[in-house]
Amino acid sequence: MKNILKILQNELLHILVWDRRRGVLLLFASVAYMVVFSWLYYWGVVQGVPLLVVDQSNTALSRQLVKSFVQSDGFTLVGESQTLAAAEEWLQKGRHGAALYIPPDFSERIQRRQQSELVMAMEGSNIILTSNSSVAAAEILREFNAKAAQNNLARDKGQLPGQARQRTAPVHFNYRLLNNPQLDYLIFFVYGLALVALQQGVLLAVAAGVLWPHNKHLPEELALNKYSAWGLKTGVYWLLGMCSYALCLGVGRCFFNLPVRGSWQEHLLLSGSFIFCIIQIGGMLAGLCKEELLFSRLSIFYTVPAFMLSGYTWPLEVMPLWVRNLAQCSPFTYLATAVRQLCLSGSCPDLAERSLILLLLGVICLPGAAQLYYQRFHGAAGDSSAYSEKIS
Amino acid sequence: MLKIFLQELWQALRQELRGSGRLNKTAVVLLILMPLCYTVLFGATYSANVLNNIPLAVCDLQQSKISRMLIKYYDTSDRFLVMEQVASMEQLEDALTEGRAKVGLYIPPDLDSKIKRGIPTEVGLLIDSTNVVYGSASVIAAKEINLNLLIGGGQKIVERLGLYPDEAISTMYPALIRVRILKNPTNSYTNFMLLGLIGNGVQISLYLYGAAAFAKGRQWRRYPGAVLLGKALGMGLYSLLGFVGSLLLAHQLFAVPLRASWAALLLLGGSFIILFILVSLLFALAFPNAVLAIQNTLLFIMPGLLYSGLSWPDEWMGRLPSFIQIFFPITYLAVPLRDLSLMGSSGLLMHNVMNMLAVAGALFLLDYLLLVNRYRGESCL
Repeated sequence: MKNILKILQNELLHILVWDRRRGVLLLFASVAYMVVFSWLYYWGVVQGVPLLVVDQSNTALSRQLVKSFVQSDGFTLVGESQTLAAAEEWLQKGRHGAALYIPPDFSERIQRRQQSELVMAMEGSNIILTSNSSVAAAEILREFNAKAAQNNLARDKGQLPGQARQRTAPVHFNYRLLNNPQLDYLIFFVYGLALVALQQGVLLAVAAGVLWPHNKHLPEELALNKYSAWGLKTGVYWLLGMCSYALCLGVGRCFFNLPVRGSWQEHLLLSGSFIFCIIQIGGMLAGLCKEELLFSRLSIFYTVPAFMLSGYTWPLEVMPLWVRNLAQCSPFTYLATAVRQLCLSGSCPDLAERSLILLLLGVICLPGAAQLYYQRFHGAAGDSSAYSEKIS
Repeated sequence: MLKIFLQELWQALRQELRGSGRLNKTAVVLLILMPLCYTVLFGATYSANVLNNIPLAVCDLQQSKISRMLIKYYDTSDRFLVMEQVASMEQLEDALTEGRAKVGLYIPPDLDSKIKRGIPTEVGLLIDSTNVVYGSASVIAAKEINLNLLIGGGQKIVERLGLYPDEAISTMYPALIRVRILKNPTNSYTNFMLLGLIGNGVQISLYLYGAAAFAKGRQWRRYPGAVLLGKALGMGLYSLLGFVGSLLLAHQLFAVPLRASWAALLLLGGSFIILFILVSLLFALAFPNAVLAIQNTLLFIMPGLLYSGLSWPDEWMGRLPSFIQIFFPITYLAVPLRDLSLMGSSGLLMHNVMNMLAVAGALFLLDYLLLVNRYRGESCL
């Protein structure tokens, strides 16, 4: 027991004192990403898109329509223009906006029971803006048309307002957006980004634990068998990785009001399996790499694809089969969407399955990681003792 | 003096291009193959471009002609695919919670009778918006379908009041809206993201290579400027090949438009590459070893991409993020590159190129001083 405590103390000293970047990566990378990206997405929703109006009708009805746009949350009136061409030129020159064109015969046609066509031109380089502007414009126009239809029926067919309303809107569609009702980007994005950093922190720290040239091994550690030696190391990194996970969710909850639902057992199972899996994979790869530089390069190369292919933003279901298969080889795929689901809705239907896959993957890599670590640290210890003898 | 300078420059350039053999394999793998690999991978990821066949669960408690028509509208649209029919609201919610469906359509039992009696009735749509991409695509598509249904239904009701079909539809829906999306009319995700991701791939590859550029120790001492210039030129040539190859791949394989001239694309890409080479060399010289320098890539790879304004627009960033984004080189590449691709020109092009080259000049000076300092330190040893 005493020996084990000594080895654990030695490992902690490596992480927190002698090679501090390891501690920083392990404990604070995810927290740093959580803070950095929460700042970025603090507003969460794109509203108040700059709107240029080309009102060639200039009647009470057209002004009423413009008022509906101006009063909505979706748009902010930034000016008026005389022609659609000028408005489009403004859109081409400027950034991120929309233009509403109302034709000269807008009111006349409506009075004559003919449809009138409006044009909504949008700067389309950013999909977030075009989606939000389209939804907002369609909603404003639906309301405008419903009112206009009621007025038409009341005027032409002598319908009472209540009757007219029932005839023009016989069915009301009630939209319930579950888990993220505002379609808020803050809660959509931030968990995954923090978890990417957690993954990198653990990978780079484990690699340093195996490959750092100044690692000092105790005689007690050399006396252990390969599974015990690697198991103790895994335990230390796992515990610190779990602290990092908890810290990052805690910071999100306390400082950025991010929802953190789900029981602690579920979080423990999912993140615990993931961190265990990543430690084993990291350990095995580190054992195979000649030096830390190569491992760091491989690990950094993996970061962006791991995030993009995980289905966290663009859904896995619509990716081609070979990309999906590739994505399923990455442990991050089993973690990111599940953590978001858990935090937002409080449950994740395939949590057990995902955790099991991660655990299995970890268990498969464990013997390789243990063997390679054992070989390496015995080699390193041999080298260092030979070096000490030579010095003495 | 100039002759020796040029000789050292040539030696450094040749060393960078050829490495220890006939070809610098590390440079080929990192600076050319890595951006190409990212292009293929991310291009394939977004190849669907739009989100179709969103899984839909239906709870039809009415089972009438109207309710079946409503379901048919959803099922025949490209956007939704009816995956299952359930018998209650609880089962519908379960289907969403368990991930079998992303959208649930609830039709109440008294839909027909209420419509006939002229009492407003409510159809429920439950949308799982945990993933905003699904959420927003579902909302847009559902609203479109429902609007068509409402117009069609309303038209029939109004026809009964004695209006001709044309009059009825104009009465029901007097103002039509035609949406024109400039630059990216199909709302394609590939056009939206891929070039930015290529830029990110180029910066990661440069960083992974450049951070270890001085790992093998000193070789030429007399003119550190020649060493720096030679290394930067060699890296730049490889990286430019990777950048051009990636653009061509994106264009040929994934139909990303390249409307601007190659001169404009190369000017922007080249300036970015020059700037980022000098950034990576700065980190290589500022940190005591290559591993430490490389691990700092974490500062760039995800924050750089997401702070660049490529996905989250600049105007909706707070003051602090707007300030932070200035320090990420990819901010000066991602948006103008997309503009060049989608509309053939960018108002930001010359401004950003000048900014990047000016910073690159300052960084060259800094790198030079750090290299001189390093050589002095080594000679003391």
